Amino acid sequence: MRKHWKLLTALGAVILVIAVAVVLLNPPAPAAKQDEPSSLQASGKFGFPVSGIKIGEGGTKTASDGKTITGYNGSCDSAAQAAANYTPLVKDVNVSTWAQQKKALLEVGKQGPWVERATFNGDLMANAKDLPPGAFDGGWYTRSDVAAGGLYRIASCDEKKKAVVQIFSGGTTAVVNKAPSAFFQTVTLELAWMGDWKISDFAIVQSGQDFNGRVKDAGPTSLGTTFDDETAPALKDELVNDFFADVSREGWVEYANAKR
Amino acid sequence: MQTLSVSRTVRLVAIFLALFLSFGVIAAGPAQAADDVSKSEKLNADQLKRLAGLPADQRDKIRDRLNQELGKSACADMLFFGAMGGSNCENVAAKAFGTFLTTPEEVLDYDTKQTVPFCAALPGAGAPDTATAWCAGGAAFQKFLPIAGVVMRTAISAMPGGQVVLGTVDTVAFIANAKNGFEDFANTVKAEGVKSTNEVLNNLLKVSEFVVDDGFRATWALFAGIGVIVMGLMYFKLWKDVSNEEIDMESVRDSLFWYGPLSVILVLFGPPIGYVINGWMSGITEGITFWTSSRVTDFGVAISRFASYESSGAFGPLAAVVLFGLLFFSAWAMLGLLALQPLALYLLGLGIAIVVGFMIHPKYRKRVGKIASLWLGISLSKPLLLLIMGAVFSYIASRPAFVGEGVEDGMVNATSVFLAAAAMCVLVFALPMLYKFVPILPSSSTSLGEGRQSVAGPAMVAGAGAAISSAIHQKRTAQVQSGQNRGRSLSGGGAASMGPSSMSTHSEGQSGSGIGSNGSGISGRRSAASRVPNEPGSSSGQDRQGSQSPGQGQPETRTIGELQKADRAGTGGAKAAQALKTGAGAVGRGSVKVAAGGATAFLLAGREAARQASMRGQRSARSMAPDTDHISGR
Repeated sequence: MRKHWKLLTALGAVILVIAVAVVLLNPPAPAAKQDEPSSLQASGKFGFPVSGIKIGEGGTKTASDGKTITGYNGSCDSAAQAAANYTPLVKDVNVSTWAQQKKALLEVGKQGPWVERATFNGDLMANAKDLPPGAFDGGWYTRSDVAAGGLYRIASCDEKKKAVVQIFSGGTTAVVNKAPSAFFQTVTLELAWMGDWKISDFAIVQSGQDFNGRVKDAGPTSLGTTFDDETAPALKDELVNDFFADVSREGWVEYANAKR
Repeated sequence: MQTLSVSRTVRLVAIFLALFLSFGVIAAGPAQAADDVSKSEKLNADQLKRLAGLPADQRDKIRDRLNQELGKSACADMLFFGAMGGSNCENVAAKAFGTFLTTPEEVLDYDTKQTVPFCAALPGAGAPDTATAWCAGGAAFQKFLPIAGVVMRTAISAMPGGQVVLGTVDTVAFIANAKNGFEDFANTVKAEGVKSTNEVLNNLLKVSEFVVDDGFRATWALFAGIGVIVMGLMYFKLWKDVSNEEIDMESVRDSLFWYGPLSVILVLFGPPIGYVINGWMSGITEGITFWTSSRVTDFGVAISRFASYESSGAFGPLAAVVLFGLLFFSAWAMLGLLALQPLALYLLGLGIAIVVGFMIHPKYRKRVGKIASLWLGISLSKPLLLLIMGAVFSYIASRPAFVGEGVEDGMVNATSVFLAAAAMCVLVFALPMLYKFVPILPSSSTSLGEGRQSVAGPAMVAGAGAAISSAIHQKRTAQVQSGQNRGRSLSGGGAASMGPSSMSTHSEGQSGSGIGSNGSGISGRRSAASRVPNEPGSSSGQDRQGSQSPGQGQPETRTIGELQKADRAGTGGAKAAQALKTGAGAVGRGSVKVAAGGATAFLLAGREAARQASMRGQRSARSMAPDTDHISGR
């Protein structure tokens, strides 16, 4: 033993070095790729499935404003269409047409505390005095463009009873003392079946909240993103990744006629 | 004198190279930075470090300013502006942000999607009920931007300390309304000096780092291939030297079974080993960097004060050109030094790949060790430099001219510029000076301090290296003695068999000299041997000398006639060996005496003595050898 200590030490050192080298030369395999296609057919440009329903269709009648479509058949698809078609009513703010819009909104909505929220901005702008310049195209403060967002998520749906739908919409908003600017936002609507789909609750859910447990998350928003455009631009991969950075992509579906 | 002038030339060339290379490094930095200034630009890691190092009141001011920006951004949303009911929107919003964003970092990190805490803070900040209702009612910002890019830069740079954080300095003209060319020049030198010092300080901690990446591995593979060829040649040389009896079988055995495989392993696993060591060094550097960066920030505050200096009294244009020129020079030189480090590590690493084959030859083995230790030394030099830098800068920043509001005295300001420039000069030459006065490495490997008298050096080396070297010497001595014993027992004193034992004395002495300094030589081993405490049958220096004398003393007690007889009986090689052994014996006797006395003295003294004795020994060996030849009658 004493005689061969050198040999043994050398052997030990070699084994140690090889062990260390094997560990060093084999970096951990790169993390498995995340973007696996979901079970749904992910055929959209940004990996979302595309449904057959279109914005601006699905109903048989129009409301008193002459453009909001009503008269749905009560299916969950029709709820998604109704939500998209009702979105301008809760989002748009134009002082010149506000009274008409408010009337139409009450036609497609069921009375409740949400009405005050949905009409808050419109009432505020319509009644405000001495607002700084910023309104665009003759009285517009917010103009939605649902097709520019073009995504919906059915949080829950019971045919001909109740549905909670989130709509990802684009739009243009007025900026104080400056030219208007594009934005994207998620509108959450609760629809109740009263012979037709009627709005029974509405919110623009803030980050971290969940509409009293009725939605998974607030949905994507463009807050924090600067746009050079005045109208909602065509979505790009980096924008979508940005919007969905901290919210789930699960459940979002594209309308067939979304702007892409 | 020849070596002196050569080393001076080398040093000059090195300095010029350092400057030249650093220009490239710096020029690349701002060019890249210009593209980064975009709408979403955030503070980088260095700027955040400097921000963290600012005094609390300046941080609070920057935070308030940034909150004001957040308020402005929020109030750009027309609907929110309407809900807030008018022109005080920004201030109220800023106040609301201030209740939950309490540090500048929090403001900068604020995710504008998180509007809930803001809404909760609005009533407390005195917002109108409509605003609270707007928030609670599920309305939300449609447009609200985080603080970044140009907005952030403008906001921060307007605050005291902000320019330090961003790394920009606005210099005022040293001489307002410069009348002639020289005063213009003084203005330029001042502006350039302060600006580049500031820029250099900001970039000090991020100059390129040495990384063992795939590129290095590929280049290493190429050079290691050459190294393996060199190793093959070394094998030829090894066998040639063995056949010429210049080295003994003992070392050949070491070479073949120990250093041969070891060098192949090093060729294969050099990059991983380098990667691991480099990782440790990066860790050390990283650990020191934060401490240093706050010191650098203090110094940066001091430097930015230079920007406001104006000509007064004796602090005129000439003084400005000289002092700010010195500042300019030393700032760049310091950056150059840091920038050169990765290059040196890269090239030395490849050097190791080539010379790794040298390890199998006992004569050249020490060269590999020298390069390897130089590599280690250089990779350690960065954390060391950062440490010294922190110490020097914290001293400078505490000078009266830099504390509080400073002083108005022109001379005090002038000396403070000189002090800052000199401090950076000291840093540039600190490491080379460390190598000179504290040669942790063999002095010849740095070319700095070679062949000079150095006071601190032997002390440091003796102190730090004594334990290692004595252990190595002990092992060597044991080998030598076992070799001699075997030689005697095999042949019973035959002249031919003297060869191996005397050879081993010679070659061991040679390779042993690589450890301490070039001078330790044969007697270094002897003196170390005499210091070995657990040698059988020895309790004091005198005893040890006695116990060694039977082994070593035999050749010395022989008469000239015996020598002649042995000479005639032996081969030529054996004769030469005989002569050497005689010389070595004499050396041993002398050095053992010295060392026996010095064994109780300091290690420092021991080492000095060993060196002296070695020189004497070498002289005597030289003088003895011709005598033997003469006596042999040829």
